[in-house]
Amino acid sequence: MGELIVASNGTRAIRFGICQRCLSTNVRTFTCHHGSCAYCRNCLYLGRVCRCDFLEERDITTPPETTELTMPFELALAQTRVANQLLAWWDDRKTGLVHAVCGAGKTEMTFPVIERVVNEGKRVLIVSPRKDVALEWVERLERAFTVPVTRRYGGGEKASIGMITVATAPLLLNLRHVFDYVLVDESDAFPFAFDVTLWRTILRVGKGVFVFITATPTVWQQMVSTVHLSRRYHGFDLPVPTLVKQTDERLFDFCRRHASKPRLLFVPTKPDLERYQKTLEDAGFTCRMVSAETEERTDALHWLQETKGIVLATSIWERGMTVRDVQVGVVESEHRLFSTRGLIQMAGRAGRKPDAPTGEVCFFYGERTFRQDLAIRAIQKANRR
Amino acid sequence: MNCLLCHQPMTVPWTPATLWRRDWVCPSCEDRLTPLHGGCPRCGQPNETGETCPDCIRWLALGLDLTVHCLYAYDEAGVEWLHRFKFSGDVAIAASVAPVLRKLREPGVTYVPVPLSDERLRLRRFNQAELLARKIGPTRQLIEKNEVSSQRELGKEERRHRTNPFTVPTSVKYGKIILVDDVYTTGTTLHQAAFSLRQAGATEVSAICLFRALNKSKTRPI
Repeated sequence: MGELIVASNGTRAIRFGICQRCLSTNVRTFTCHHGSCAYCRNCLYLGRVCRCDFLEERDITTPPETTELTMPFELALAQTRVANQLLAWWDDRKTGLVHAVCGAGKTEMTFPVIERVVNEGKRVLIVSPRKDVALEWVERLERAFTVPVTRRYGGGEKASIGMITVATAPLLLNLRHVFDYVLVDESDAFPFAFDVTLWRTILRVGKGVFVFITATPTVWQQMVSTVHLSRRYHGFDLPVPTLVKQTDERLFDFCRRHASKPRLLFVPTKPDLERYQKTLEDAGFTCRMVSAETEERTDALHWLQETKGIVLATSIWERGMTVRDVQVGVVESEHRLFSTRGLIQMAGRAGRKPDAPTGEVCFFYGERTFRQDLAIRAIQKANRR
Repeated sequence: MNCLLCHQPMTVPWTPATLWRRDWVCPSCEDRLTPLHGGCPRCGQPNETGETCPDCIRWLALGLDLTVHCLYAYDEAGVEWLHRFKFSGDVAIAASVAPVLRKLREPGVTYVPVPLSDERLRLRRFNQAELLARKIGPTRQLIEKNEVSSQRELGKEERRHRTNPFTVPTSVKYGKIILVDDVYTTGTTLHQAAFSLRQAGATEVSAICLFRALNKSKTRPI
């Protein structure tokens, strides 16, 4: 139980060509000072481990504290139902899945259970896929709870572990069996979905009780018991996407129709960003581009909110961003990078605020695919439920 | 296949090497390092005329004649590459310069890496010069280094007037020797090592260095 550190006694860091810290096989041989050796290339950012290193577990947890909870707002009836279900699962020490639609207020629903877990003297971990999302969690948790929140993402302090920890997945690789209650937010998002070892690491970090929270669970996440929440907290339906045959004219038409609102256009790849920016600029629209390499993503978010302009984004923005009254267009929605779950998440960006509960979502298509249909059907199903 | 340096997926060109090469570098990463052309014939310091640079004239005045073949400029990309290689310990990226190093191989030459002190070697776990030398050809550890402080914080003059930390325990009377090092800053290390080798009896000594620190650059030499 604790953090893995490189020490003189312990277990070998790399055994049978597998890095014991990150479980990857991306291990390279090289000439060490004693002769032939191997090091792991996958977890270099945590400090290099060599085959001649030994890993030892060290307890870095702080003494338990109790906390008080001040809810930011009263939970709605549906949210209370989910919160009670979470409490019941915790009492039974059961793992579960919260299948809640985008914008259902998932963060606040977990606060009662976090409070109970912490007051029982157990440790809580919240895993989020990206740093921006983690920052938002920290902000909301610090407003609601009195105990300090440990930040374990790039730039946070990592020396000790308090009662509540917010982390991104890669920085959990060197922890083992620390947390009694693990909340995996957006559990089907990028780092978990494509990296099985990362998923295994998440399971090793906890002690057996997990809650996965997502709007679009993968099939193998639906194996655990599920609670559904298919209504947004303001009570309006999810906006159902419309399918529009993609021509440049229709794209401009979409932009013109919502000239007084912020517009968000998703494109599949980075080269497409520049291509579509050029087309839009030729037609007289000004727009900004957002991709994984853009440093000032929050800045672009404020710009979109205030100037009500157009932002072209890659799928980096498909989760965890909220803009009031945004209109969403998905360009080239038949592209293979747009999965069903990605399309559902993108459609879920629209109408998230109670004062602007609806919005238009357009899937521009060159070809029709099953993914588009499945996404639309899933949204309609959630509306009916 | 993913690029060795940036880990982005890339298309591997279809050559006979496709079957046996493991590490591929994408074209954008490949031309980040700037190769040195022309310049000083002794140390590769870039200048327009191709004359021997003033620093080298001072070495010649001391009676130390050593030709150093420097491959890349130690600019920002070079600093980044070397930091990753040497201090982060991502040793596998040496494969990205391996084809260039391999072309420098000559028959019948012993490649001698500049050694680290024992203490430093235990700390870093590997000798970066030795890893580079192994990419070129057959290596032999002929030189030993005594414990001295790091040159990292020293200025140009202090570096020049350092006592020679290198000793050659055996006598080397035959064959050509090429020294291998990672960065050429003032050249003190390589000249001292070459001096020790010549004292031990070596007749033909030259050197290969991966990076040449540019005198007028803002980047601090390591």
